[in-house]
Amino acid sequence: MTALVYQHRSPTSATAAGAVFAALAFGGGLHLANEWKPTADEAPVEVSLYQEQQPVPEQVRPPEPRRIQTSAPTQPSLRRAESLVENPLAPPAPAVSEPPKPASAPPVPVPEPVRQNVAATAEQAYIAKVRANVLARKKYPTGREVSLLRPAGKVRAWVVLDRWGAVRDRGIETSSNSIILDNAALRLLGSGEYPPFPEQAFVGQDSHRIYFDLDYQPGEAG
Amino acid sequence: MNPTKTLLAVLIAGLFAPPLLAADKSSEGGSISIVGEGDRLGNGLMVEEDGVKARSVVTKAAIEKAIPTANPFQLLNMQPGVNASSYDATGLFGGNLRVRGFNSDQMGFTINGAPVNDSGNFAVFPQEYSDSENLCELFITQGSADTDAPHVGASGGNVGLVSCGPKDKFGGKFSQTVGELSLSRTFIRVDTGKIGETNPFKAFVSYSKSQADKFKGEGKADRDHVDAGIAWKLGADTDLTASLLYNHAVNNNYMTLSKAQWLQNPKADFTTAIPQHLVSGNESTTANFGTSGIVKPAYYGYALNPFENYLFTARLQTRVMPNLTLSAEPYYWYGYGTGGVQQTTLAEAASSSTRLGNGIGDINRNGLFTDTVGVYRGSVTETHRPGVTFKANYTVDNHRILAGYWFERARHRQTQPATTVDNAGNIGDLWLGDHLVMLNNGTTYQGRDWLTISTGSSAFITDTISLANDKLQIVPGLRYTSIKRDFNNYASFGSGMGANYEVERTYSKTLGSVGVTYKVTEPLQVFANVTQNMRAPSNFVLSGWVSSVTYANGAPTVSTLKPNDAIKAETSTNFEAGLRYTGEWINSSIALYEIDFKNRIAQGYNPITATYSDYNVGDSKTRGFELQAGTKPVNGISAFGSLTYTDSKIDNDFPSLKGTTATMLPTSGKVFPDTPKWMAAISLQYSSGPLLAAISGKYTGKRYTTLVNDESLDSFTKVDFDAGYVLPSTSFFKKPTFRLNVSNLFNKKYLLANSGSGSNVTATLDTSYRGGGTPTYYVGAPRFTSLTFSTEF
Repeated sequence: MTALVYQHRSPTSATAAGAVFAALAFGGGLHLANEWKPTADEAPVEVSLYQEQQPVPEQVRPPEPRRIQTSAPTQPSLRRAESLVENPLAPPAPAVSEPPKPASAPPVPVPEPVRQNVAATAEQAYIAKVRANVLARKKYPTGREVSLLRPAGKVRAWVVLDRWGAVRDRGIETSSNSIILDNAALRLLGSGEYPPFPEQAFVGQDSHRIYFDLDYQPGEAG
Repeated sequence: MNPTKTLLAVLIAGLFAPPLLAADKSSEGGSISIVGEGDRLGNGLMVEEDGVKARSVVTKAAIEKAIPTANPFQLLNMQPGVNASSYDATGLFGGNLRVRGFNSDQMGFTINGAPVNDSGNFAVFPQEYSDSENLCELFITQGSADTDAPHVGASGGNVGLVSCGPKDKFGGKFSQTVGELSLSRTFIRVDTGKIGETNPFKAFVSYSKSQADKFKGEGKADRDHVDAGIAWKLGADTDLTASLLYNHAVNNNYMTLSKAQWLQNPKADFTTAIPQHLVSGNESTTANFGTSGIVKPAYYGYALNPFENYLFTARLQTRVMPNLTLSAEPYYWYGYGTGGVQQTTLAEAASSSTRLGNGIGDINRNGLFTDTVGVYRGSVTETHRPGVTFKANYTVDNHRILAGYWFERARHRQTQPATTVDNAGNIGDLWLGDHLVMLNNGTTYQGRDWLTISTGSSAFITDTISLANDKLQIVPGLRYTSIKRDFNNYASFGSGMGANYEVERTYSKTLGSVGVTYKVTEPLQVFANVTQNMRAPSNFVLSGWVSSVTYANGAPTVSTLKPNDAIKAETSTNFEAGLRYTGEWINSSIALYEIDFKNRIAQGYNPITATYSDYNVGDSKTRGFELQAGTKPVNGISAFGSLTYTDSKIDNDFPSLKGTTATMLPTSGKVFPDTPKWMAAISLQYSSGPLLAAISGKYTGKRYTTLVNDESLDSFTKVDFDAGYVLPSTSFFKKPTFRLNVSNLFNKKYLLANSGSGSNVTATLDTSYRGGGTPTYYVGAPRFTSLTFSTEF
């Protein structure tokens, strides 16, 4: 395997580096995603925070001065990018629009922490998308038993998605002590139509588990 | 190869290698709060349903905006399929309800899961049950009774009332309502809040006193109501909840008018003139105690509805295994009271051993036994009704199974004693417990004397099967429902009731249902179901079987019985299909249905027994659609609407009598009484900050009021206006609120069908037929304004 990679090291490394830089280029636009923290939702509908990813350019460009935010420490070879001012108020970086320049420079080594940072960004963005999907479909259950019992409780449930966004499995981690609410949680997570994983997210995993803490309340209790 | 390149190659290779670098395979999606929509959808008049049946819910948000005296029928009137009416604007006097052509006594009613229909004839009296402040939800399943519901008298679906439990925080609520017609209602509630850490306990108790005058005629409603509840966490997996409701009311009744009488004098009602006793002689003429329609109505003080009832419900629920929850839900209902018009006369009789009880004694104690004396006599009903439902909730794989057993034993005593009245209108005992008219042998006079032990039971099981990634749900259900009536007739002065007899009848049925829902796309869901329902005959069909009797020593000796047998339970099959749309700012649903209603029970001529009595008079078919839609607030504005189309047809001709000749009334193809073809309701609300204002309108189409459709009531639209203003909270008063409710804003004049019992309606205007006559109606209440101040503390 290593020999094969070494044989095609130029295009391989170029592709990898290009992917890294493309991700960094959009990093500015994803600074919101970087700052995303799990919080209790109030609004009935959430707008997705993730923007569609642009196609990866095939050839590497020399790093352009861009305002980016990075939380991971960068290696000296990317000092140029790192040295840019971290400005939280910076507008999102525009999409890649310049024509790719010929790969005259030697391939830029992609340090491990940067790669992890890129993956983390993509993953967080994807989780946000899944969360938005669940938020849009959430509803308190109905039915005679629900009306009579008016159950309330917190359930910690999970859903396993594959790379195409299909639901592989769903389950309960911590029950709410109400079979009705547990079932509602399973149905909510299991019946969604989720997007596929972006390439950089959950690299190497053919499926991924996402946990949600669902707090059910019947509404005005008088 | 230089070391740098090797390192790079290794690093690159690491990207594609099996994930040694891949971190944890799970992520946190975060916390999500999921709360019932309440006022954020359709003004609180609907929720996002997703079950297999057409179902409508009225949430607390909507209940809070209505007049606090409102009874459950009024609160349901905006829902699709519902033709509800109240005898006045406050709701304190009761009302009527019809859904898909079925009367309220053909529908099952529960409070917190306990059945509250009358044990004998399934009648429902909505003004007895709840205080609005403590009501958290009203639900109605149009056309099909729930499989796990404890009903034996539900051919048309069921309605449930659910009380709010005790609150978590210590505090209370106070509310005062004033309005026209001397309306006054005071409500106060106190909550203990959560007490204790490991096994938290909370409780509440509330009391309300309501009074209002009638808008027509003299008299009023006077109601006391107490609610209490507890919730106790006995263990990590075990919960105990219990509730108690108590209601005590004495109402004066409204007199119903025929169309002609109403046109002549819309304010006609019972008279204010107290009938006077004569020194001796015949008091049954219209000069004193006799009554004659509108020309000489009864005295308003002798047309009373005193009733006292309480209901205790409890639920003990425990999770014995992660996938198994068991619950026991006992209840106890007690009711005592009378209603109707009590003014009548009784003929005294000299003591004779060939009369029942040796005959009616000297009622007016004037030494004569030849008088016909005016008395206050009422049909009294007393019910003791304990019951329990056991439920097991079990999940395995994609199945959620609910199985259970309901059992109750109702002891239902129905009598008709009489008491004396004086010339000032004082009644010996308006509750008919004391100072009763006696017979010459010292026993109590009774116009009827029944004891019915009704043992009801239902074994049920449903399975909610989730398929296709939870997009498809299939719910089959099965129940075996049975009621055994042990009817005892004790000799009384009622017609056909002169001898003692006992008869036992059991009515039971296996009822199945199957329903399905499928999520076609995210906003669109289809649902369909087929449900079988049944309604046992009322215990009334077992009465009046005595055809001849002789007495000796004041007791019946020889008697002949003519059983009115072979009456089958009413059954109906509800076929339903529909669509639900859940959009960003609007939710809507439409249901199409057909109900095959068989063996409708009504008073008719039974050729087998050659009597005019209750029996199965035929079938009918009802088809229609029900549409409901609600919006989410946009700039403070939100709306709810419902549209109902009902096409109901009687299938058979109606067996009747002309004189003594059996004949058929041409009812085949006629429209079912009090079932309008079109109904529509709209509610528009503006809510911003502390202010809320809503205007609602309900259109009720033309309704026929006889079986042959030779009389009808015109369509009408009633518009109501509700507004509320929340003042800033102070340290003591939280959310002090002023509420204005105006009912019948445009003072529309209209009439309401007096639907009587079950399917019993006037057959025809033609009085040459038995069962013919002039229908009488309740007059719609005029415009009514009330103001409520409420606050929490």
